[in-house]
Amino acid sequence: MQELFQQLANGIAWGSIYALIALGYTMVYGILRLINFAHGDVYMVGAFAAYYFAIATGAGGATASLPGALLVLLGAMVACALLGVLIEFLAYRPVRRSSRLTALITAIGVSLFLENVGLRVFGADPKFFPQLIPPRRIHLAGGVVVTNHQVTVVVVSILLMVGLTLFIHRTKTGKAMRAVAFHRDAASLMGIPVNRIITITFAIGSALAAAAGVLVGLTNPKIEPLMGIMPGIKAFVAAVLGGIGSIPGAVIGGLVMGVSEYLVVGYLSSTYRDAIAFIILILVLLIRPAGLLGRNVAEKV
Amino acid sequence: MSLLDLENVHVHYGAIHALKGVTIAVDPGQIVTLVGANGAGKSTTLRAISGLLKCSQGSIHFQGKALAGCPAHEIVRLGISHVPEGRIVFANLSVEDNLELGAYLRRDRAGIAADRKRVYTLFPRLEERRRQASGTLSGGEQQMLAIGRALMARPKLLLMDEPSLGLAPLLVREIFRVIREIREQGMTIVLVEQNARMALSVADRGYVLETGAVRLTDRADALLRNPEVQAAYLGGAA
Repeated sequence: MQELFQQLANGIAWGSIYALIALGYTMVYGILRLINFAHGDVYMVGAFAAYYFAIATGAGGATASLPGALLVLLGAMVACALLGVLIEFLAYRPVRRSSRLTALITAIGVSLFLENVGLRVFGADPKFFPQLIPPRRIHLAGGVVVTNHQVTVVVVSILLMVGLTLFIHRTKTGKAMRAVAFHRDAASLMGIPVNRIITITFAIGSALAAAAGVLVGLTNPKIEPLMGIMPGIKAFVAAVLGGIGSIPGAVIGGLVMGVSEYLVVGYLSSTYRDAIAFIILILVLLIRPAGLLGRNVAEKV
Repeated sequence: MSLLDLENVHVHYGAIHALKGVTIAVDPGQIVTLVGANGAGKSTTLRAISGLLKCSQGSIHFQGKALAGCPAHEIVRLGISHVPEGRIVFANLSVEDNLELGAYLRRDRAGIAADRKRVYTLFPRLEERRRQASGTLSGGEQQMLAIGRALMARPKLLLMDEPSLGLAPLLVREIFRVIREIREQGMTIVLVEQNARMALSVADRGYVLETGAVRLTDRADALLRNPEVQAAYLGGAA
């Protein structure tokens, strides 16, 4: 029983990171019907941006402080928001009116580009992510042990998700975003500037990926330029599992993905940790291709 | 001078030449209807006016200002609202949020609230369902919402594409009652309809479109009496 709860706790922390990445996939897909395969690499850039910010501001190690950590988080999110906007403008906008296959291949190209620029600029050797918050163990009831880093991951993720949900449902821009996702032409007939909304979507999705990159640096402090590939794929599966285009779906999908991974690690073998993502993907595609919360609204006349 | 002037407008969809030199004038306060068979270019004409389609040739002027090259969301700002074919309400948003997005470009909170009240007076059913996701509304209610949403931009010109399509006869009459009421409040309307008899009976002027060109135009009551129009579009003599 203790083992189960321990793995659940680990899985939820790890799943929160998948959920944050999955949100970016699902938002971009919802609005452009594009699988942004470069999204996992934006997450990698987020981790590196935080790494350099932390070194520049001395926010890590002995001089670590909470404001410093928040500043690093914010800096990485802003940097990646700009990167996301740039990617959309330079790579995706020119092929917006082309076929979806063209856009998909463009996305793969952007992904390879970011990975190779990363190898060139950041270097292929893994870097040690500075400790933004001194580690501490927290003993929960029933012998379950979590770290304060895991708690931070979950708390920051929840705050970001709540913030996103409020933004999407309460603000005019958020509602406009949902309108564009539903029908681009109809949205433009309301006077909604569709291009600006798409830009905002990329900025938000990329900022969330950056946050995931910072949080992962906290719990797994070894970062390298190809670190985005696997989590990128898994978060994509999480988005599909939840129902791509659905924001609560992405969160649920991410958590299910993280928990299943840790259950496999705890009860089978860590060898199969990566396999579970693909098993889930196959099962979803076979049993419920629309995903757990996939939209299926019938048109009425 | 007319409120809206289309001069020799051509539109291409790839290789398909959908509009072949359409010239239409709409005077302020009028209802102008475009009638014609499927594929005659009625919807295409509306989509060209509202900026969803680019003209390959010709010009469109609204209040003397050329619309060519304006993106759709800028045209809304100039005072043209388009109720699209098939209604296309934002199904995942509530009725109230749909209306709020209709007023997307406006900043005058008090004016928006007053206009929302006006829409609810026009369509009391919408007020009853204002918190409901609009995808759960009936087809007729969705059409009312689509019209109300367009009015929320406080347009000078309303483009309506097939507002009666797929509705029960009782609802069709309801929609036409509202069209008359909106016009009485001073709105200029361009109405595209399959139901040519209904459309011509509310309109001031009609244009008959055939394969992307204006076949003939006249006062609406004259078109209703025109034997050629009766034979082709009104199902024989009334």
